[in-house]
Amino acid sequence: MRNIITPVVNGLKQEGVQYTGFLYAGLMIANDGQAKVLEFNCRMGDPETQPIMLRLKSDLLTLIEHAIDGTLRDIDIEWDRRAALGVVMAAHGYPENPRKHDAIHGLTELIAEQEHTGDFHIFHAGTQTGDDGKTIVTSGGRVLCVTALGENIKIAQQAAYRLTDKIRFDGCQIRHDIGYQGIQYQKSAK
Amino acid sequence: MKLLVIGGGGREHALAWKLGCSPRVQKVYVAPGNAGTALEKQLENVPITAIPDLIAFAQKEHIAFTVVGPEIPLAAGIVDAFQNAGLKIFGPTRKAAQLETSKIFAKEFMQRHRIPTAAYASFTDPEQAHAYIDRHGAPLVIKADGLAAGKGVVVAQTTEQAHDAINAILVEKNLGNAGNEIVIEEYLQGTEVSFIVMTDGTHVQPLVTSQDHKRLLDGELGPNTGGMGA
Repeated sequence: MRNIITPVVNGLKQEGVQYTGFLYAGLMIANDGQAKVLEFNCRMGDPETQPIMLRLKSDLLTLIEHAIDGTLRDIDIEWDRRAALGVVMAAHGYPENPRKHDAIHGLTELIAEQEHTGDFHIFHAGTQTGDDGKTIVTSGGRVLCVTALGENIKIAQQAAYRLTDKIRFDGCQIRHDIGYQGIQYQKSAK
Repeated sequence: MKLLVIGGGGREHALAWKLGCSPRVQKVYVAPGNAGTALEKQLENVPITAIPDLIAFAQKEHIAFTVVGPEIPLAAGIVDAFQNAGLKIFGPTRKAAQLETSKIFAKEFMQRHRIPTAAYASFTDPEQAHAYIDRHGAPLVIKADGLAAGKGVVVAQTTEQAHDAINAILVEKNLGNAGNEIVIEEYLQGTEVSFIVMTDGTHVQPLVTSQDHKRLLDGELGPNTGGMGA
């Protein structure tokens, strides 16, 4: 924060540029603990946004209002103390040549549970409503991001994969180890 | 109050859903959205993507403010256009977004303000770039200056890979104009983390930390993707 983010915001200001928005810094932390910037993104990451929004307890509307009005200092952001983990379900052929129009099954049942518990959310990306006006079909590379909360990363991971097991579409590509580094880290920190 | 979210990916679904949870929200429009945003009670998709049409929509619907998800409209100056039309919008102006949209701008900016980053040199001439690689040896990182949908970075473990990347980007122009200039960087070792903040231009609020998984397959194998989980 002190060595990178603050100098960026102040540096832009000095150069007459006001940066309002999300700012994403990709950093490399060397063995001696020194951080160097790999890249900046001028927006939230995808899929990082999905677990971050699931953990956000503060009112996002109010946060953004403060950011637009220049009064972001006046607020504190409140987070769910649980971990959140998102697993992407991608289309056949992604990333080179993703296939479209595969019907997605299992979503309807989960939406009722999602509204009831609030402990997970199925975020869509490459999806569209099919020709019948009812079926949901794939329409791009990354199709869904199944995001769940848990007491720790391991439990959030189990919850997310329990949900992906219930969703099916032809050619679905999925990783089975999302969060493994975080789980190792939480294990060693105990 | 009525809001507008620009974009149609998972990120925009999450932002629009969270905005829609606010007790002060009447409706969140998502342009263009997806089948998931179409299902949410507080959200409504609008099939608009051109900036002048989005401005007209925001004026007609009395949108309180607009939130921009992806980098492409930011690079196209959507924030400047909305502000010029007297509309509130959350996102960096085209000039501020150069931190992402021009790798050379970002490097020169960091140098001016002594922000720690990898040593680098920038090139437009392939012969000079090849000569630099021969002088420095591998590993090196080659980056196209412009936006390339995540395809603009090559981590070259050998000088051969580095030379190939120069030919692909600067000579064969496989990334189009995004590859008119390149940056060659020192290869950094360590643990990669991302740090995301919200800022109003003066004050900064950090968000919780996160880690994404770029490779398609388990155990960091397979090609790079936009991200397979976080």
